Amino acid sequence: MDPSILIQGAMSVFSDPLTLGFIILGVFVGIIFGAVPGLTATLALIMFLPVTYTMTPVQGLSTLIALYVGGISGGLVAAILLNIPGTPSSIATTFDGAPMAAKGQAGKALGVGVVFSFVGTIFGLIMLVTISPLLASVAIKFGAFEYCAVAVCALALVISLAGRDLVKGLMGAFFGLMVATVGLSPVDSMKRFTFGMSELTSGFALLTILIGLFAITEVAKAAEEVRQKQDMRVETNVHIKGFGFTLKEFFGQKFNALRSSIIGCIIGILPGIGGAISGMLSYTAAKNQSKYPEKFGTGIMDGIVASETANNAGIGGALIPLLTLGIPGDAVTAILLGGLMVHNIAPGPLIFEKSGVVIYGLFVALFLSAIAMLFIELFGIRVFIRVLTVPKYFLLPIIMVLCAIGAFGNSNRIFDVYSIMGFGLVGYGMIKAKIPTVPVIMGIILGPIFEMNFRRVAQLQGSGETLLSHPIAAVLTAVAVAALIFSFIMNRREAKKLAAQEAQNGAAK
Amino acid sequence: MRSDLITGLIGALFSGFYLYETTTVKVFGGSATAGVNAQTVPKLWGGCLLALSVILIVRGLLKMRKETGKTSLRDMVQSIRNRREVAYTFILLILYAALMKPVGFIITSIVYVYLQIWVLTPITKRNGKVRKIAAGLAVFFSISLYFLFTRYLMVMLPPGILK
Repeated sequence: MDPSILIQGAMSVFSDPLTLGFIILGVFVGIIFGAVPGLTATLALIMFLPVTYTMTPVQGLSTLIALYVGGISGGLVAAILLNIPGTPSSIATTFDGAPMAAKGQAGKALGVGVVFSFVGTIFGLIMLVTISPLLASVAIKFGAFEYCAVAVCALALVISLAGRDLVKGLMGAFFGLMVATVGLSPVDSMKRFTFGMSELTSGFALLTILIGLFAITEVAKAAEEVRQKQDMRVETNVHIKGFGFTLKEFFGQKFNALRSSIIGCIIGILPGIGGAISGMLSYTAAKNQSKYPEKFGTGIMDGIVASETANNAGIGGALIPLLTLGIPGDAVTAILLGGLMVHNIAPGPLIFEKSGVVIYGLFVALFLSAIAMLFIELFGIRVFIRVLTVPKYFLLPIIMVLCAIGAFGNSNRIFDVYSIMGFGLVGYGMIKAKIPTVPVIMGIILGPIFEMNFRRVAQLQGSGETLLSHPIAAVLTAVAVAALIFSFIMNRREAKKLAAQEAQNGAAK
Repeated sequence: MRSDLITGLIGALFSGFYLYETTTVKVFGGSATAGVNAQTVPKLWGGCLLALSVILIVRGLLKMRKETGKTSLRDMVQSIRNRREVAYTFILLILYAALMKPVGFIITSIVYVYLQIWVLTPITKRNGKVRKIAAGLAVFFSISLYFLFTRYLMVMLPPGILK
């Protein structure tokens, strides 16, 4: 780490009041999106990406990072006050957060969640700052074989962990890979699947696909619920004194927080898994290793600490492969990838050489976002509670207009607005067919990386190079195969369990 | 499981069409390509999706044989009718996209936001107050977003007939 570049990066944030303002605004809006069930950090980033088009790279990326931090952390508000996770990352927070609120300790639950979200974010940041330059220095030696293997491994992990149904996960991934082939082929630039349309020569824009699959589908899901009974009672009588808990209680959670941070960070690095799994894994680990496991689920702070520390530590973890390899781990980091591209930052092993100032500025922005999140959530909790009472049917159409602006503003083409509608329809169909969306996104992003390097590997066949002469590639390929086999075995076990249960129920009748 | 069968059939049709279109892609014939060209990887993906679709169709058929209860056509139609707001939503979105350039961002956004709020409002809450709020929000946000993006954020939005 070059200290002078680190200082330049830090100064690019501190010396610009606009950047500091955007960070505060980004965290505030991110928390709102995280808090309201049905709005997510993904939607917040999609909505704000067009706003960052005319900002400087440091301003734009700082805003997106702030939205990310706020969005992941904001989920705890609804999880505790409504027993509905605001974001998937806060599912495990409901297990003890809601019971704690029911006991009249909503303020304490919120305080614990906010403070340990901060702790998790800082841990993730420390890992990001230490691991990413090391990984970049290893990845710089990657060649065609390694990149092929990384793409296959990332895709295999996403498919095997994205859902219960391996066949549908694979279908989603292959669909994404097929969408990525639209446009000019790598190496020889042959037109593929353009149907004579000049707009398709450069393929579909990643942003339009993300907006369609994640934003348009939200409004479709909301439309489905119009004729269903909706009851949402918001606990509005919340008081937080200080942080809501004592220093003794804080230090009593140190091992829980450290374990949860490590779990969250590792899960964040692995593509396709996401905050929901890290929160639940961490909760399970905390329960299993606790002296009082029977108390979990009754409203104790240990459960909230485990979930919130893990999901926020995953932020730093997810940024590691994104920045050093250009491989996003989930939908949110896929949008961050879009943000990096919009600002001409090429993620990869040379990112620290080519854009060191911006990247270190990003690290500083992440740190400031964590601090802003801590204070805004603690002192602004009443504002977020009020926002929870605003009906979704007022918010979603305005968000759709912002998404249309985002799509149109990307390249000034109405074609992109049509694209988001088309992908929205496809996304809704996938939800109905229970095909997970994350493998589709990973297929779209990894497909070109795989094909480019696969064609290079094919050209190297004559030189006598094989997979075995590239140990990193060989190991990654083995991991990919193992992940798919593991997933297949788990799927079969679950199917047998389900069949046995159904047979039992049938016999009982 | 009927949904597996339908998904498998759609997947098979899509991959069949994709594989057919792959054969129309021009290839560069040269010794340096080692047999790998612009058609190779698409054929690989299309073939894989076709195989998976067939697996899903077979799985769907096997599960349908085991199923004892059958969904009647009337139940299916009723289920679709209960979700007609989804169809309205997509129709609104498509019209919004189609009319944005000729009519203009402000007018189409006002109409879209107003109608979309109405479509998304639960049946039991549809009243005059919601209509007024919807109209106010539609006008306020459409106009302010237009000016925010075109004047301050330099994102060009179509003015349409208000030009």
